[in-house]
Amino acid sequence: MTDPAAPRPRVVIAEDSVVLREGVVGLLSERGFDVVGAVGDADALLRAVDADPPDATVVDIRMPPTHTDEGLRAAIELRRRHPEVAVLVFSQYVETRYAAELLADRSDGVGYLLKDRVAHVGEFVDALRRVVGGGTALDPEVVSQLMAATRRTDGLAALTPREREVLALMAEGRTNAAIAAELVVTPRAVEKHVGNIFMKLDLPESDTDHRRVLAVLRWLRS
Amino acid sequence: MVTPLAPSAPAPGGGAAPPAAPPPDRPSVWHTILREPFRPRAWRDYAYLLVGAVLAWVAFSVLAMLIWLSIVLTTIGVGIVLAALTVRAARIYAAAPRALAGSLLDERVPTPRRRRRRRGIVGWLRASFGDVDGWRSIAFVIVSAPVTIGGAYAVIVLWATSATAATYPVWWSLFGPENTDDAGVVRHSGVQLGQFYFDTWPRALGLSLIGIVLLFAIPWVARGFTTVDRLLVRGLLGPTRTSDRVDDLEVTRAKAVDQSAATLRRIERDLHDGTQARLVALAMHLDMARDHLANVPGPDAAGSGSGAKGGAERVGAGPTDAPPGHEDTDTGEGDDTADDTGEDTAVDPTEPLDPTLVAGAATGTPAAASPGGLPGLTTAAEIARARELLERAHRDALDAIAELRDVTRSIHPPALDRGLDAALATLAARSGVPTEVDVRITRRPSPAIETIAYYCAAELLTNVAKHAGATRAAIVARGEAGVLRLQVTDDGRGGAHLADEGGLAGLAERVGTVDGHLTVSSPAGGPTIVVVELPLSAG
Repeated sequence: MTDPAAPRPRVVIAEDSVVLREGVVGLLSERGFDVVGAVGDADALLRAVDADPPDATVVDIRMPPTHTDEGLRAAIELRRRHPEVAVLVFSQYVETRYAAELLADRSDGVGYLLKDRVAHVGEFVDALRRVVGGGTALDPEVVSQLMAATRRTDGLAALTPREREVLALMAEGRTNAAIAAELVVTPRAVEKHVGNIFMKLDLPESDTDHRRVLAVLRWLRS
Repeated sequence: MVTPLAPSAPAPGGGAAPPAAPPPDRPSVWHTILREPFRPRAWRDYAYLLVGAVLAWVAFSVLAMLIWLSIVLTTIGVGIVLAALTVRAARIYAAAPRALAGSLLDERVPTPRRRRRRRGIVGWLRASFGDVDGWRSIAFVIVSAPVTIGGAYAVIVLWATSATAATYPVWWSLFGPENTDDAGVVRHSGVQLGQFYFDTWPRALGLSLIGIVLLFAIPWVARGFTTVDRLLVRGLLGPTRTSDRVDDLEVTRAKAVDQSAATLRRIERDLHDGTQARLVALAMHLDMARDHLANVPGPDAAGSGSGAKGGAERVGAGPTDAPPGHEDTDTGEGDDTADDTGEDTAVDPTEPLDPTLVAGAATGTPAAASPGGLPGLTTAAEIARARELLERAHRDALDAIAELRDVTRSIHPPALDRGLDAALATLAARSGVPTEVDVRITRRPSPAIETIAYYCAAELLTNVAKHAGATRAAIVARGEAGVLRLQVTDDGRGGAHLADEGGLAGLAERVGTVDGHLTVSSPAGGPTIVVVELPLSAG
């Protein structure tokens, strides 16, 4: 598990359902996080983060008073006010708009998960860790739905099915090694696919991680 | 007699009732006739006819002019608007004769209710031309004008005649008029009928008598005219039962539609915020429990050899049967999938273990309670079984969450929370056929309308994906002039019909519940264009 010596990431949770909120608090405390705040609405979330910025926030999109997208708006606001705070948003449904808005300016330290994912504690905790580490975590469902909607942009249309698979996994925030394991291919093969993706999407040579993000963003926005 | 005869319809205000005193001492006919000219009612009838005639004459002239102008101006389009204005003006004007009839004839009819407003210029025109009461007012102006003007004319002429005749002997004797008949004879007469001269006292008195008799007849003539007017007022200026009923129905239907939309939204919210959250928490806890159990060195560590027998005997599953390979591990390496069980063993030696379980597994102390003998091994089997059950419970919980999500989605599309625009975009993104979306809606439709539009779009896109064989589709939505227009186009093989395609007919029905329209153009070979038009609000 986590290295006991490593500092426990400090997390604020915003979820209006008490049962679920307490459940998540319990889960995260047990899995090496330090839950410094648990609130029930977007305003309280903003106040809590302003008062003492944590390492990450876990935010439900639907919260009082209107139960529509308060959480998302708060998350976007948080990313503006506190760029260093990672944000993991979870939603009942996949909404491409939500994902796109959340990733609009940059995609580091941000995640968008389906609420069901919380029930897969391993995946959930994992995604949170990735986000805390400055990565991206998109729900596989979000990704597959975006993929299914055969989006068309010249570069994307040129991708082979395998490359699209790789891109989808990149969008979820996976590393090359993880992608290789998932697709049961060698890491070298993955590197080749990733290189092809960069080339086809016409992304300039630069820091690889940055290009990964750009590739995902280009794809999300197409 | 159980059911007494209903009293004859009480004439509003008692106006039409015979000029009668109470039944016991019913006045004789003569009494009635003789008294009539001196009763205020007669004079109110005269007043009604005179004032009404002026009013009717003005109204009729203005109306005729407006109608003529409307017809002339139709060529430049203004005529339509003017005609609509005419109908509206007629409805407003109707208040005048209604008030007149109410005050002078005691014929009080309620004002017809205002029709519902519709938005936009098209809605305004539709509302104007659909205003039955406006048209009835126009009919009243046209039909009542000859009656009222004729009545006024008759009253004036009769009054003049009878007054002249009744007073004839007086002025005849005073002024002694002279005139000459055809034969050249000089006659002393003021009035003549053909060659009949009223030039003698008996004749003069006779004429006077006729005048007086006529005087008593005028009220009845006036009554005749006002009775017709009364009928016209009652029939054309009051509310009609059907129009009121339709109005009521439209209003209640709009309310029902809106209310059901609100109710569905509330149910969806309750399910989402209550049940769904609880289920997620439940599934989460089950998963956590499973993980904790995975940390116990039960089946994997302790149970490979002889324990298999006892375990198999009791639970029908060998303790070596690890739970299905996709258990979650939480090593935080980013790979939480089935493939990595090799490196992430279920047992993490650094994890502190529940001391009682460890003790149980190692020494078998708590196994006194278990009947299977070989206590330590039984514990291992129990743990394996528990893991299996937890696994299943977790899967069930996840299934329940997924099912509940489908249910809530069908109750109220959550995507609509952010408006039709966002909802249609999400819908298009999810569609199996590449779909362009173009939405321009200035005023947000009511929730019920948005819901119907959303389901129409969803159903139509599903049809496109299922039947059309299309490679592209497009959704265009426009909200203008009180109408929400949704158009779904695809380049498929066409041939869709409203009649035989269950889905389309069902949609048309649904659209019809709010007075919307659905039209399909789908020639064989395509393209298919389905247009749905909805009012921006149900009511």
